[in-house]
Amino acid sequence: MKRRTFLSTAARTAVMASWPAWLASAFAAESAKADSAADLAVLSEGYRRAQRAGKPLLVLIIPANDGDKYFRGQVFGEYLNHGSPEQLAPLLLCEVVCATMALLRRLVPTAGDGEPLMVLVETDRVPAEVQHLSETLTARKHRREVSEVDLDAELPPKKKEKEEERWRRRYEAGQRLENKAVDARIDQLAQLVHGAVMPSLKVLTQRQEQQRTHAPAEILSSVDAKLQKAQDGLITPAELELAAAQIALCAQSAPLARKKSLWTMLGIAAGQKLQKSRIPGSKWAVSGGCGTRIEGEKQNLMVACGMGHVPAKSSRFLFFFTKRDVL
Amino acid sequence: MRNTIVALSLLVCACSESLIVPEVERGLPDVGAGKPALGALGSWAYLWSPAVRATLTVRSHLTEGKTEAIPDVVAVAAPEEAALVGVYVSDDTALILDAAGGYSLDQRSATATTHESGRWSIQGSSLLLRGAGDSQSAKRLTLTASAEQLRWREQLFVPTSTERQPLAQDPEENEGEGL
Repeated sequence: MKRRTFLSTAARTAVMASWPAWLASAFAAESAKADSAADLAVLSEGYRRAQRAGKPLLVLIIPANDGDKYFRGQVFGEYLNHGSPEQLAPLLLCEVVCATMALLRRLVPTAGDGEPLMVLVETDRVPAEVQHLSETLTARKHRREVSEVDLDAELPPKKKEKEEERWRRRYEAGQRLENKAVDARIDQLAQLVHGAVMPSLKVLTQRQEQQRTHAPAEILSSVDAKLQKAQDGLITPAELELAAAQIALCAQSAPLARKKSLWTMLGIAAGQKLQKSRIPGSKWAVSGGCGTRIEGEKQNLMVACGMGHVPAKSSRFLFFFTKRDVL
Repeated sequence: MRNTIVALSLLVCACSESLIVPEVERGLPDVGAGKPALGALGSWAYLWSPAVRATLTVRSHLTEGKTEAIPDVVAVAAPEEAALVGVYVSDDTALILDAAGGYSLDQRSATATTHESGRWSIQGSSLLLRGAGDSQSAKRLTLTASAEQLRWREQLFVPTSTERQPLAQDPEENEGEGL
């Protein structure tokens, strides 16, 4: 009798011991499904916002490989936080979201294969036309990988330089090289976006026509009147957002000074929109190399020194990991 | 006597709605239900009065070659296809209308989840889902002009709506911040 009780208890204990594993995996599977459904909903809403605003959808592609997520997020962060207004202006002609290619293909099966940096999805017809925006970005060199020759070439040594002066000079040279690489990447992304969103006057005219069919008539007439009277400074943020293509088209045919001014207005509006709120499908985060803090969330400091040194212009970045990835 | 002639004329007009002279019909405005009666009256006037005939002939010459826009009174304001792309939910059912014209429908019950896929298209004021594969089933959903709702039998599909994304912190506060 005692043996039977013992066996029964042992069997029960064994079953209970196995619970956490299968429960965890079951919950993980459910959680993954829920995340995927929520991500798809975010992408779908982005598409609908773009379609109703008469804009294309610009998808910043989240790499499938976790190892690439930090660098990709930093590259986008560099562009969105430190791009000049002229480099950011074309972004106001789009609705911007982040998604993996696997997720994008569920809503836009014509998105194609591979893993480009960005995909521009036209929202004016079915089947949707897509463009892959790909580029081999300027690589980031770790401080250790930069030779003294490179540093001295960037900031040549002075005669009779003291040890402390040489250390400072080389540190500054290192920062300069980092910033050059960041600026090169920003330029690469800006050119990709510009080339896809407004490669020609014809395409820009089409974008303006598409936006005109969706924007409220009073907004369009107000912008028309202000542009005709050259009262560009009176254009409101809402008008910039809803009539961006109309303003960009006007800028293209304007004298140089006015053209630059209109582009700056569009770029500043794009920067404010994208920097001050989350880009759907991602979160803004800050890291200096030994920890990551997600903006807008409490108690979210994650200590992880794997990133090492992070250039100042790369410290604010798009965080692409989900809770599932982090746990 | 005159009253009798007038009454008789009206009676003849009323009984001869099929008598419509083409020139008169072309000149009539679009007045809906009253058009047959007007056509009959006008046709009798055309036949009896040389002045009416001359007026209509001159008018037809003046408007010759001009194409007038015909008001499309029967067309229903169906949304453009691209406006329908997206994810819709209804209780335990999720419908994805993709941007290539395909759809997938997942229905979850207490015991199982059924999956269906195929092609979608707009037909008038309806959304037609044609199942792929062996089933070849077809569902006709009613859609609204704004494409904000789709209805199939008792089910009302609405686009997914996630929570509004909270604002990020002011990026300038984070400049140069190192962790």
